[in-house]
Amino acid sequence: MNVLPILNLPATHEKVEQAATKLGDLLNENPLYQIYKHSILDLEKDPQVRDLSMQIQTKRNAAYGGKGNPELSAELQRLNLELEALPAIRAYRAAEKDARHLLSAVNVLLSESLKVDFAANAKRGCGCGG
Amino acid sequence: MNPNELPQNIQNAARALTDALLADSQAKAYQSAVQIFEDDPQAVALEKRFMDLYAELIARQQKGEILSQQDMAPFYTLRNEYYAHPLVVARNDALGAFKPLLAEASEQISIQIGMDFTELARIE
Repeated sequence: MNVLPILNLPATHEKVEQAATKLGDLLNENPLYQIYKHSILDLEKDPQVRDLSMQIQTKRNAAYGGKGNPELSAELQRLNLELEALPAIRAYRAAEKDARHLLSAVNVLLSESLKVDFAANAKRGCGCGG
Repeated sequence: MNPNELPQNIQNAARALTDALLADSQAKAYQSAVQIFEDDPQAVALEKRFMDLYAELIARQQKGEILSQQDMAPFYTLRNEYYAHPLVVARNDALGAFKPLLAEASEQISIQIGMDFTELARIE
């Protein structure tokens, strides 16, 4: 039987794919990660977040035309503070922090065994040496 | 979070992934290049000097000092020496060849979690 070379992945690559899928599944099922994903959905549904975000965007667009307008800058700062104080945003920030701790701990584990920072070197198109 | 505090199933899955990655020929070549580098005291000392000088210059800049050409000249010389060292070149080349497999693995994790793993998992 002829197999197209591109579909004929080396066995190690298949094992990597399977192991990465399993790890991703477990991370996705983790309660901390679930809370983070739900917090994003909550943000999208929250009318106060939507309203304030739109106000901020409108002010930003206005500020873009009138550089250095102190009144606009002060208003933007006030709106941003108001946004950050909303319960949905606070919940999202806390959940994001927990999710980042979870995933960075996994990255430390992978990186120690591989002798390379996994996340930093796994970006496609990164020609940054390492 | 300390990696030891991760749930056992996640620790096991992470170890299974590193085992799968380390079985690859590019990974073996990279591990070997790292070992050869670490076994060479001169190369290790050169890397330490380079990293120490880099950290010192960054610290001075962060304190508000404007670095002159004279300040920077030894850094550029050392940087050229470091990046031209055969064992550094070999290690970087081996890592470059290993990176596509790391990217495949991280992309697979990202698909499962619905976010960019490399972005969320940066070591703090």
